[in-house]
Amino acid sequence: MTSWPKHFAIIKAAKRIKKEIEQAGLERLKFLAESNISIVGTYLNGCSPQTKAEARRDLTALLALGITPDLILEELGRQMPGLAPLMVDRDAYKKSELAALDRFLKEE
Amino acid sequence: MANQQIEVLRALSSKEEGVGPSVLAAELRTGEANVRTYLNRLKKKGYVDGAGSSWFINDAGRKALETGEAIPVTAEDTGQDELSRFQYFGSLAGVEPNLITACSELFQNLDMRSMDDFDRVMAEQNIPQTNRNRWRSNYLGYLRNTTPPAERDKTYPLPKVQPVTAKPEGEPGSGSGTSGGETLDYVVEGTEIHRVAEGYGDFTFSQALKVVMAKRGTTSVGAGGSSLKDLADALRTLNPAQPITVKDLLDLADRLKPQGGGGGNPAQDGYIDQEGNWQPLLPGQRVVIIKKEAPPTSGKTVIVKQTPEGIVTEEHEAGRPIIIQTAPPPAGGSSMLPMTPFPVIGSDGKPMVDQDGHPVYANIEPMIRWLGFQAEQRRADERHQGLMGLVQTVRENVPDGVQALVRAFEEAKTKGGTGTPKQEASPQVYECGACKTRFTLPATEDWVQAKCPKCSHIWSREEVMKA
Repeated sequence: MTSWPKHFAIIKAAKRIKKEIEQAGLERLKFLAESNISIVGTYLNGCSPQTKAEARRDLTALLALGITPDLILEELGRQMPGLAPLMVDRDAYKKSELAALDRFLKEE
Repeated sequence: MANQQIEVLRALSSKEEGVGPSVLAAELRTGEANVRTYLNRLKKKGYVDGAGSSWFINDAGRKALETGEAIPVTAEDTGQDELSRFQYFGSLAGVEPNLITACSELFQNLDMRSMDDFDRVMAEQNIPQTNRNRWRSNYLGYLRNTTPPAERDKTYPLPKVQPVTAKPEGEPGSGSGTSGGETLDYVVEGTEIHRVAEGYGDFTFSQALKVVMAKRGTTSVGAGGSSLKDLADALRTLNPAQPITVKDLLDLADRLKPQGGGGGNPAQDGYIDQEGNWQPLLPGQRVVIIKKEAPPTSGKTVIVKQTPEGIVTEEHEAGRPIIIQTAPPPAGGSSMLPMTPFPVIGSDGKPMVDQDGHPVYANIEPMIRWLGFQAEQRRADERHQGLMGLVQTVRENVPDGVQALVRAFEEAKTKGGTGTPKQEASPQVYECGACKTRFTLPATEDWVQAKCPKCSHIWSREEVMKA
């Protein structure tokens, strides 16, 4: 069972991602997910180096707390029910999203 | 001591909530009482908070772990035996931990209550003199305090510190290996001279002074042109009880520097004659200084003036005052020359005149200034707009995650998508072989039959797939 501080950190992280990607519009995100285009990967690769560094630092800090990307992705699905069936419930797409996050964290 | 405390601190840092000493003891495989002791000491040092069965690391503790900051060792952390106190005083004296360990290894095999053995260890490990003195005095104090008062002064006498006074010149020395009655009371650290206890130093004061000056590369006292009297005078200006700084040495070197002449020869008095040659001044010879007025320079003085008409040159007579006119700058700080009055032209094209028949002139300078001001404002606005456009261009070209998503969407839409939506947007259409009606297949993937919506002819999956 996840402890309360961890739980809050997961919610906060998912809320932040939601706030960012929502700016692109839910319909667009749905279309990207249906087209098997990684939303997380596209967003992170498109960020400025400074934003990338911030995101990488935050994600690494979350990992240090034991919060894995799939936990965040699941919470994101709960916060964005319109996107959940396309983004989280599809195992292959979810795996590709997690792989994109993993690649991003391993980048220098 | 500090290592165990760091271990406890590290174990606490991995806990999300307060834990008790028993948990930490089990994790560190040590006694609970030990852990409780370490926790209390860490709390006093401000690295942890808590009590009883709930202890947690605070910000200072986390910072110490992150930066690798050494946890200070207090007297409480050390044992009361000789070796522990020896090590503690070593750390207090500023000796490096490795050197303290090396000294401890040697010292614990000797008589740890003997100052002679202490000195031997210090010498063998080549401990710097200043650290050695601090370490020695602290350890000596500890040994004295743990000795019965009756034997204290006999076994561990305190070093005698005698005030050093400047001796008169020429007083004979009294001690082997010393000069001027001085004993070896001084040590040299870098370019600083420190006085230690009597007889515990390496140099006399004058020897230490020579060593420092040699290290600094300044002229040795004996090699220069200064006499011993100069040295004695210079030394009197210093306070031997205080450590000598570089500044003192520089002052001393200045005082001892030969006055004039090179190669150490004393300067000889002399004068420069009218031809510019140096002539030696004989003893008793008088020098008369006559002040002469400089003759007025011959020639003409020319004054050059900048006027609106151009540069004007005037010849000036000698002896007459030169008057410089400093006209106030025109209003508004403009550097423009005063404007020539502009004749006012009437509608008939002729110059206008007043009631006395004099032509009327208009001062159009304010108008020109206003027009200039407007032009300057316009240029500033245009420059601002240009800069803002540049900023906007830069902002648009800055990579942004959301824009990337939008671009990806546009590209995917242009290409018609690569996955499911493409299939949904243009589903495969089949034509009924019987009635030629076009229809699509069922949405489910595991369909077995497809029914024509018009003639209700049922087509099997095999038939459709063959088509």
